[in-house]
Amino acid sequence: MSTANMSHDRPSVMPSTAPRRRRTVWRRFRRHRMALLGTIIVGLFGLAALLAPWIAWYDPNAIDLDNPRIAPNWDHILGTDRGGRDVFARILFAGRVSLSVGVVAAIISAVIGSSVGLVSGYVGGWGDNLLQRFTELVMTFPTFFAIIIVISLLGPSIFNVMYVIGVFGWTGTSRLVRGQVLSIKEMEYVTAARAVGATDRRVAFVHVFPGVVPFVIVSATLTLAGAILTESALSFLGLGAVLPTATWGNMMTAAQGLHVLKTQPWLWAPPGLAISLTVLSVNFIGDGLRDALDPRQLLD
Amino acid sequence: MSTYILRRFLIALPLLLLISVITFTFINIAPGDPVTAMMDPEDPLMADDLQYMRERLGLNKPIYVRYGLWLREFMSGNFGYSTANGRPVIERIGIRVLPTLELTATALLISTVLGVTFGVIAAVKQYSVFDYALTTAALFGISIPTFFFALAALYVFAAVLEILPTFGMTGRTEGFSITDNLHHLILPALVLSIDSMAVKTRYARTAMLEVLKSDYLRTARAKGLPSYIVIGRHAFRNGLLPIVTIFTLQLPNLISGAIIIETMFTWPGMGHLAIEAVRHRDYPTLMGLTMILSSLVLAANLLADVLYAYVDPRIRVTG
Repeated sequence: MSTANMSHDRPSVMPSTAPRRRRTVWRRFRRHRMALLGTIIVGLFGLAALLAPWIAWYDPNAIDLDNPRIAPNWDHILGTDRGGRDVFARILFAGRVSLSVGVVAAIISAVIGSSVGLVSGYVGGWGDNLLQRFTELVMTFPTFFAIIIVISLLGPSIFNVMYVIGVFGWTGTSRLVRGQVLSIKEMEYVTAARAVGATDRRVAFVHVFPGVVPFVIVSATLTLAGAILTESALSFLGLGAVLPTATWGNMMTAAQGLHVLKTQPWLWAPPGLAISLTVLSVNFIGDGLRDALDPRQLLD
Repeated sequence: MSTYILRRFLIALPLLLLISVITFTFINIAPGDPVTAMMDPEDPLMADDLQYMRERLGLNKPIYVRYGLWLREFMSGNFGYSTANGRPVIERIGIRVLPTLELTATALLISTVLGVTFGVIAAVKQYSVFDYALTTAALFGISIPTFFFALAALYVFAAVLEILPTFGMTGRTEGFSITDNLHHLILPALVLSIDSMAVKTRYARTAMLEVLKSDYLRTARAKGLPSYIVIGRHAFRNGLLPIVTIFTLQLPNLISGAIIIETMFTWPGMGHLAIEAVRHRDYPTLMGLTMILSSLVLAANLLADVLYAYVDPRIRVTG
């Protein structure tokens, strides 16, 4: 590498090693078989959700009272529900809702959590203290109970569900990010950058922030899993999307009666399996990411 | 150490107050109130009645006045009256405390004992069949929604096999039988414990793996100590710290899980009451429940700090 290519005007500790690290991370992720399987499954579900209007040959909301509660057959491959609506179509369209609610809620949580964590860890002092007390306050609310109360006040709708889950789910991420910021602040390259005269803002964006990103990503996958579960529980209790909009959770509400539970398992088993598979896959991905991004390997 | 605990306790009280302010404000600025739940606000014939009911329930006073009134009554033990059935809120919540406690305590016991055991086994026998089976099972445990577990369990045990009841705490109308109670308790408690158990298994395993690598353990083994002492006394006591942390962090989750389980099994506890109160917009009951549940969470955190200080002598000295 000729000296003409070396940049003299910026400390080149992190940016130039970033591409090599990314390749290592990717290679280690690839070795994690379950994480790959998880990615494939989530990808399939996502694709199915996107292409739902083209895959399903029945309208998910089309009521057909001539054919209620039919068991799976060649025509309706997952049977029909009490209004004669095709279960398979409903599962596909419900996937759109459940997945999008989960993703948006996870993004909201990630943004709030990382912002709070970054500011808290970086500023320190009374600002940190204040933010930490605030985080503690949010954590003390029994979360599900608080979500239920807020949803009941705002009214059931998928948007409310997205916001509420997002707003209550950031505390874990903020703790994680803050811890990372605190340890990065002590690192030698930060001290070196400061010694060379880097401004606070520069240190924050160029050095601290990139170190925090992998942790935010891992935390976001966990939050995603939780958000999907919470949304389905809320819908199941009737506090989520309003019928006839299908979500995996509210498709299972019908099964609360013992008769339906016993005689029409095709109504509640497929949505439940869909939720379980999706969350399981997201958790596999999270585990794989966590192993691949192991900080002990990152700091070589 | 006692100053540390005292400090934590002193923070708890203002926190509780703050929670009450926030909840009260939120509940009262939302659209709709108990009166509109009873009568249609659009109906012109009802307008006078609406106004009368509002005044009677004190809903027309400014919010800080209403909060002050609520607080004063609350401090003297009066939680107000439920707008759903007119009974005192304390009574409504009071009869539900024991059932929820029974359910939650049992689930806690099951999840802790089994979870930690599984985690330790998985760690000690790392890379074995046991390890993979338990780790995978734990992952399934945290991924499958609680209500799906409940439905599946109900399907297998109640619908198909018909050996366990599907609802309620007891099948009798009067008298109390412990076998009957337990018969009704097994399924809900087991299902409630699954999520917690899975989390504890994962944490216990990670904690034990860390400890098992340490030097003092190698020394103990080198000294010739039998395996069960090395693991049981040395490894376990040091791995206990993260387990205590996760034990207390899981307590609010158990309460949340109880809401769903109690609804599905018609278990007459506080969780079930919460859903009912939400459906009826029964604000006094919701305030009472929030205060009690938040106090429980705070008490759990305090317990966590005490246990932590007890288990880790370093905190007692520096803390």
